[in-house]
Amino acid sequence: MKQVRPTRGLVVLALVAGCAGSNSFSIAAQDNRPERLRAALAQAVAPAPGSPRNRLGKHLIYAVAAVKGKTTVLAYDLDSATELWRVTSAVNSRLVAAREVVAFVGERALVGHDVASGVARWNHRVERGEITGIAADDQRVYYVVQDKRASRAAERWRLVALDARSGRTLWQAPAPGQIGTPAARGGLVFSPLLKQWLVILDGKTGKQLARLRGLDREISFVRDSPEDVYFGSSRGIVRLDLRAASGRSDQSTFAAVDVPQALNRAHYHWDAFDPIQTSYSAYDRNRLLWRAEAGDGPLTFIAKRVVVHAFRFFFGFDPSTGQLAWVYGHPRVDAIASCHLGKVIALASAAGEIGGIDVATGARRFQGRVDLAGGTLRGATCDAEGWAPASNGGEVDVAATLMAIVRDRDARFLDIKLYALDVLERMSDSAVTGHLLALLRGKKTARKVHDKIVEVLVGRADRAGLEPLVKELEVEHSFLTGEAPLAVGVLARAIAAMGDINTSQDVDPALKKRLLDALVIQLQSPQATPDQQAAIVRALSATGLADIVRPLRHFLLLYRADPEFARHGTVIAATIDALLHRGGIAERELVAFVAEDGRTRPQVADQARIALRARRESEPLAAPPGQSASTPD
Amino acid sequence: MLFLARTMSIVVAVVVAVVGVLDGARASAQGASARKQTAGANKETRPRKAAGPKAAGKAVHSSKPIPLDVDAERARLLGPAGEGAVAAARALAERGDPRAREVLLDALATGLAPELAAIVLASIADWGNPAAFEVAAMYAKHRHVAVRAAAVRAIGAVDDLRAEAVVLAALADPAQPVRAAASAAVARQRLRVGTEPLLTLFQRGDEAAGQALAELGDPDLAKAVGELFGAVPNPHLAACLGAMLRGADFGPDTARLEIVRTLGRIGGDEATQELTMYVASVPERPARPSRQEAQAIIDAGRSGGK
Repeated sequence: MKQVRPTRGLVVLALVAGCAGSNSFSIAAQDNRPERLRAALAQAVAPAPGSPRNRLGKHLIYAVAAVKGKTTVLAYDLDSATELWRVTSAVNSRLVAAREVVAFVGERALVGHDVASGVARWNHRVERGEITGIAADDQRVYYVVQDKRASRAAERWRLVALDARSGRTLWQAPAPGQIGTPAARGGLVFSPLLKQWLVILDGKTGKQLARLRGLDREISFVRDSPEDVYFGSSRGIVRLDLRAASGRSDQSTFAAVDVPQALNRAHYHWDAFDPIQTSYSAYDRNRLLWRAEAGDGPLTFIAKRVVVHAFRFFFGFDPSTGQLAWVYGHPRVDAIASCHLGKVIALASAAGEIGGIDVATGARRFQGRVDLAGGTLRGATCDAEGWAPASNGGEVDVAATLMAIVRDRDARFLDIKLYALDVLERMSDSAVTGHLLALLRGKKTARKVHDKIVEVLVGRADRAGLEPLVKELEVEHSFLTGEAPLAVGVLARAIAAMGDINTSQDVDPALKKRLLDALVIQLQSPQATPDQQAAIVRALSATGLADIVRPLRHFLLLYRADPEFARHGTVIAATIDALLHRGGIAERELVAFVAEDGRTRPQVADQARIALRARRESEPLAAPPGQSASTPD
Repeated sequence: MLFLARTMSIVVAVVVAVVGVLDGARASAQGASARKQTAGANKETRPRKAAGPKAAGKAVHSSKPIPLDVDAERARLLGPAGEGAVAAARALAERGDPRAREVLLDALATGLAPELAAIVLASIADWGNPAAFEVAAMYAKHRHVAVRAAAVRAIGAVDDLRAEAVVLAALADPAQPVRAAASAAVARQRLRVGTEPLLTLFQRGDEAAGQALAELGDPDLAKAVGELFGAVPNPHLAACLGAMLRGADFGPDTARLEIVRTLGRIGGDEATQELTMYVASVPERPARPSRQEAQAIIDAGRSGGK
């Protein structure tokens, strides 16, 4: 915010303008009086439902852009997908929309530009201090000014109301402490005070109508919407209805939305007390987009969705279950602004793309563009209530979009990528495994993402994804083709996690056979590391596939006399355990032979003896009828 | 006695297991092979038709058996790994009679330390006995390169259609000694299906593949090798083409003439040396255009190309 110095003319103007007096924010006022709140709310005039605020009746996006080195304000008509106007102007705040003008803090003044032409209608020089908040309703523009030089503490903060048509000051109200960015709706203005109170003023006069005090939570924002006014903090939102007079969230119409940890930068609304959030900033790229159903009942959300905007991505959640319903990824550049318009989320990207996403399904419903001649959009404000373009996108493929997020090269999104993988782990989409394997193969996949993919592949235990795992395991090291199998140990662990595949009816017998062959290929591969071999043996054992015993017998005999093999106790133990667990008498005989034979390395023989002893102790050998079971000497 | 009985049962079981393992290995290798004619011959041992003259040279043990206590050597071989076991393996391998071979095969089938396995597999290569195929194939993917190479050599010495898949698979082995053994086996068994992989290996710097190609040499293959001019180091290319050129049953003289001209284009000491060796290997009469051309290139080189 620019520091604005007073001029003699402005001082005179200030004297002429009405003054709401010091009672508007009086600390001595009574809090949480239901009758006063009832009277105040009764005074509000609800806006026309489903209509934008501007007098044109058009669905507009006002945006600030840097074009050829100059700051530009423009209006984009969503209905015709055309730019309505653009003007060059300094911009030092968000744009706020009234019926006649779009207002913002310009160069040393608050300015109002005509909604139809962009022509400057008025220029309001600020008396003293710095503007720390701005809001508007149909008729008025409100701003908060902090005067650090005021001699009296009670005059350091003021809320000022302007006539939106003329820019004339209607009233101003000093406050005894910090006041946050207000909200305005239906002739009332709602002003947070010292993070503890929400003061409701008459928009015409600045007279205090009611005051609420948050008894168990701070009040860090207030937000108007066509349905109602809401206030709250990072911990949740409260509808401003009669129950709010309790001052307690548990006795109010309250809701809190659980979002995944990776998306917890998103906030319910801009912090009214943070001067940075008075302007467009990174806070506009990490938001919770929500609209509550109108009515007196519990606070529920339109279309049963709460949407998290995180940079280029939008995640639609069902707030009742916390489940991800859809995800949208904007290509290449960040969405720098987003608005919940009821049925559609409008978004504007840094490159000037304007989009519309269906709130319920995430389907793309609109694509437009503002020509920025290589410039960038810095921020945008919507005046487009009721905008509902027809769908022009196909069905949302959640898995594919999540995969695109994971593949994204932007290093800022590590948490989001890990979250996307968390979701993928729980999805039963058969294509997911193939996508994950492709990512695993990618040389540029970040280490943490790589490790998470491994975790997800193993954690999914999804037999629907078995085929791509088998296909990957069928790849052999080849000097001729340069091919090499991918992360054999991981694939083996993923297969082991699926458990008994042999008896599974949902796995094709031919695939079972391929799985066995592929695991055996990798077990026999000279390039397999001991850890991989151990994982493969465990996978063979876990699958319970027929004929796993033969390759395991072969493997044990082949390497039992190999000093190198003897150094890897995990492989030996896994092999012997698998043979004893999955085999029969012949395999017990084999292990006994290995334990006794002179060629066997001592470490291997020891393992065999230990395993046999443990087996005997846990499950005495019972010989089938007519067959005597031999035991090692 | 109990242990002996158990050992025998293990040996029997292992042979059964090996057959199963080989099924998998064969299926795998067949995927890479253009020829799949062995697919139906899973457990069949069919003698390959007589190999050409180049396939000759199998070791023959015609000398009288060396006096040896086979049982004692067997006991040493099956004891803890060490010098005694190595000496026993060598002694049994040198003995080479059916009894000794049986001991070696049994020992191999039930698992030997790598250094012993390599010795025994080397002796199997000398036998060229189809009966040894299955046991040798157990070791074709052993993690020790020397063992693997010895196994491939042993398998390559066997005239058995089942050997082909294992040999072709070994051409793709990451270890050069194994590929060299496989290349030699392709040449020995004259596996035409192996020429494409050999050309690839040759292009990637495997000299052994060049030697194998030279042994397989025919006019078509010579042309394919000649097309690698620029892609393969000149000395390797010259050596390969030179060996083809000197091959007794290579082909008509027009084909030799093409090789001579390719060597002329390659130039350099190695190519000239190959041409010189060719000229020396062919009588002056009756006159051969290829020899005359080779001589002309050599002479032109001596006179500085004038």
